Amino acid sequence: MTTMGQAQSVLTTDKITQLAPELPRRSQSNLARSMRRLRKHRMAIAGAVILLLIALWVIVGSFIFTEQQANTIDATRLNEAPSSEHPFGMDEVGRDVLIRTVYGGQISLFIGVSAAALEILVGTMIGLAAGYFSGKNIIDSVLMRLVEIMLSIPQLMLVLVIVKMTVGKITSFTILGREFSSVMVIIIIVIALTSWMQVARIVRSTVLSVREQEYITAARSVGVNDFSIVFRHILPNCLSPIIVAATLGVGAAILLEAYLGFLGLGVPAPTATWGSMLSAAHDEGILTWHLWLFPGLFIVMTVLGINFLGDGLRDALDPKQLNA
Amino acid sequence: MGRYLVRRLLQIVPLLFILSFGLFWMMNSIGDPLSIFAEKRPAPTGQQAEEMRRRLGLDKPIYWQYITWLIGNDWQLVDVRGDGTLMQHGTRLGVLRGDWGLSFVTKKPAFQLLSDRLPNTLILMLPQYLIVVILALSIGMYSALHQYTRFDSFVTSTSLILYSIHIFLISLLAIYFFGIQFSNWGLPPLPFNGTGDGTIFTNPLSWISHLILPTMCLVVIQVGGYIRYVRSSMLDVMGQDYIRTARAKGVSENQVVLGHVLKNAALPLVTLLGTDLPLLLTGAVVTERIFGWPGMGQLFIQSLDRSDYNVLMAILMVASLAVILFQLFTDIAYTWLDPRIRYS
Repeated sequence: MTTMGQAQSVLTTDKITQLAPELPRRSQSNLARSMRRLRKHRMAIAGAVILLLIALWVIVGSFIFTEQQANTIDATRLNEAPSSEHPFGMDEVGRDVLIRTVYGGQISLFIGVSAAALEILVGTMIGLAAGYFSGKNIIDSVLMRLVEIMLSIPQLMLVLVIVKMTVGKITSFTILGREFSSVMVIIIIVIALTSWMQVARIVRSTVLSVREQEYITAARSVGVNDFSIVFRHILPNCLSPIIVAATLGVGAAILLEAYLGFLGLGVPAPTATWGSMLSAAHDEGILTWHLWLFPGLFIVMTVLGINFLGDGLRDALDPKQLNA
Repeated sequence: MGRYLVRRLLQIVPLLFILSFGLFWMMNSIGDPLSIFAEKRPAPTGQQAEEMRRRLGLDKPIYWQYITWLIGNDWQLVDVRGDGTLMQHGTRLGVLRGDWGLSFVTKKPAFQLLSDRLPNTLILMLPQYLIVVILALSIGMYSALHQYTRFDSFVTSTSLILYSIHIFLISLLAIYFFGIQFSNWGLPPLPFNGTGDGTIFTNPLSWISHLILPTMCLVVIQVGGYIRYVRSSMLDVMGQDYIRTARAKGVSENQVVLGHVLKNAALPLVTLLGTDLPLLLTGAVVTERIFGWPGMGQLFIQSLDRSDYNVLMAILMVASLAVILFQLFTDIAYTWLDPRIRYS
């Protein structure tokens, strides 16, 4: 402490201004520092670029082709191999595979992103509640038992059972002139409700370490209520692990949707998803390679991009690397 | 330690009750198990169907069905016709007495169906898992010991790519090349569907040849994550003070790596094994479907299709119990391997 004090007293104002360019810029926010580190992370940039290209593919593609075209059947050209007219070939009932990867990708990505968002929401809320009330009342132990129970059932089996429970009880709905099956919504909710546990655990342990800090005591002593303490003072400390978990969650959800589609409990036809395209290709026979190669590659590229980006985010948001 | 173990085991009991009730409640809503009988010729009349429903206890409220599932109904009278004229003793013994009920489809005991399939899943999953662990330990260790070399960066990036590959693409590619195109190129194709004839004891060669492709694919998709894990925990340990102390004492490099680094780096791996091993039972659902392997995952999918809930319950409970017990084993193994941790 004393050496610090002396050092400070020695530094006069003009000396500080002279030194200023070499001192770390204090005013720079955590976010800006993390972004700078992320930009330097080559793998993370590669991941972001891959994801951007895939997003462009499914968005721009849907302006070029209509959804009608994705479901148009040309019975004379079943399983036709890729040609210049249809670069990805035709599928088992004579639909253009390229257009279906566009519209299938939209559904797959939408399911992945919204399931991950919901998963993070549920996991964060439960983790915050459990951590904040830990040791005060039984909320924490009840929630942690729930986490244990949920973690002991294999996720894929649980998802299959719940989807099977709810499928067929609801109808489809229409948004922006496109008809969506409600199974899609169910799949999103089910994936989220069976994968929040890890997030809850991370958030809870962060809360447990943060809530003993002095600034929380200070906030409480000036009369800040529980709600503000949790959401304004504790939650921001949990953001880095949450962001990483959200990124990786998208990839996991896309894969889970593909598994569901493959096992016959995915979004029903004629709506395409990458998963259901794979499933149809497997039923049709592996020899017609163009049916499974393209949707399979799209899933791999998406998950790859997400993992690269998630890896970079983990490094960039790590508070231990403050001056990188 | 003994008291800790007893307490943990006692905690499992209520967990299993809550779990089984939750699952049982779900089973009841996945569909009517009797719908399979509607396809029979001659189709059962409405009255016959009602009678069957009463015999099976499907007309009772859910908590009563659960009690029957748990402790059986041989101690109570079942009113088969619903008018009090034909009273019979129930035939179920209940799960607690080892009776998991009959499959609605095959009329065989659910637990027997499960135990017929379980070995197949283990035959598929255990060898590949062993290969993954051995490969990950050796490659991860070598990579960590040669950090920032060309080999290391190759391993790091390749493992991240492998980690992102999913079972579909890798197995469809493998089947396409090794299973189908090999014969076009005049090479012996590898089988990719089912297990071949006989059992593993009467026809081991056929089983082994059928195992090659699925095992290879499972190894490819899993090994990346494990290599990354081993590498990073090795690097973590290598930066510790006690490693420097050991070197300073003049301990030989081999002894440092094998005795100090590897031993400590293996600890987190134990946790990973503890969480992943039980999931192998079910992780194979998709793989078994692709390769037509008659394991537990296939049984699960078939039973789910037909709402055959006695079989489903057996599979789900065995899988969940495996997860819970492995969690306990992991914790115990940890105290044994790491003297710093002591549970009280």
